[in-house]
Amino acid sequence: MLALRGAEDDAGAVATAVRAPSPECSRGPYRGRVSKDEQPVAPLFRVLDYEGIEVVCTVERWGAKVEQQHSELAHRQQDVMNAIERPRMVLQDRYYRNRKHHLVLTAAGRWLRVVVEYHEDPRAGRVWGMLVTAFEHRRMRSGDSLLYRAGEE
Amino acid sequence: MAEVTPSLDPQDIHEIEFSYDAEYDLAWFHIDERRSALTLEVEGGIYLRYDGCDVVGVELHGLRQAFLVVSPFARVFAPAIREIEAFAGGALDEDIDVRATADELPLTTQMLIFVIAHALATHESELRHDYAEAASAIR
Repeated sequence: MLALRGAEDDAGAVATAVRAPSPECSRGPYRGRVSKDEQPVAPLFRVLDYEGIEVVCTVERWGAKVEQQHSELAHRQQDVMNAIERPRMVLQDRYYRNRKHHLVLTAAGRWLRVVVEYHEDPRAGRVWGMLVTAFEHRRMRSGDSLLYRAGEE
Repeated sequence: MAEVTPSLDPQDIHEIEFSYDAEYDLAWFHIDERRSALTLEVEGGIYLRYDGCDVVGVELHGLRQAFLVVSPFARVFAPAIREIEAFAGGALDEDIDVRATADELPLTTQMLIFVIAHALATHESELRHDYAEAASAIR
């Protein structure tokens, strides 16, 4: 398990259920689509996050889960990559301890939030991340656990 | 900028598009057509998608691990998801993509209205709390 900072216990029953994942929840991604060295098939991009951990997004994931579900992010792959590489701030996901939210402020004055799930490959002895989802929002909620803020490292 | 809480007229739901990401347990509901939207994070892994004043969809994190497990969500979600699975001819252990009218997925439509109403009420409550704290800080 990754040594990520845990989310604050400020949520309801749904959160509790997610924070106590079943064994199934802890298995790695790319189920059925993984090569022997755990490298994703057909990565669209690989970038290093603010801690130097490699984050991957596959062609399939970008097309079917990001652009198709969030048409406002169509053709904004570079913005998403920048958010992972140079976030304004990084927040702990409130319910998944191995997910972090990378945020940058866009020119339109909105926050672009990129959710990355981190996994440990014990055989290779390394940690890597996979883009889960991304979206834009205006309001910042109170109660988030701040992991990183640019300029304070 | 002051945040205006979006809203939804349930009678405006004519079609529903549902997509499920089995790998990361994410679900998306789009109302009628997919639209560019902003997202409003609400408690419990609910992310409302809105365009202007209109709620246009919902993104859920933890559909299988949370919303189908925890009451009172489970009582509303379980029959809706069974309805979706039957319509799609698949199950939540794999990705699902469904597009149907509200009449074809009545339980799913009810569930969607329930989730959106819950999310809007929760968001309003959070806003009131934030405003009260800000006002208190000023005083």
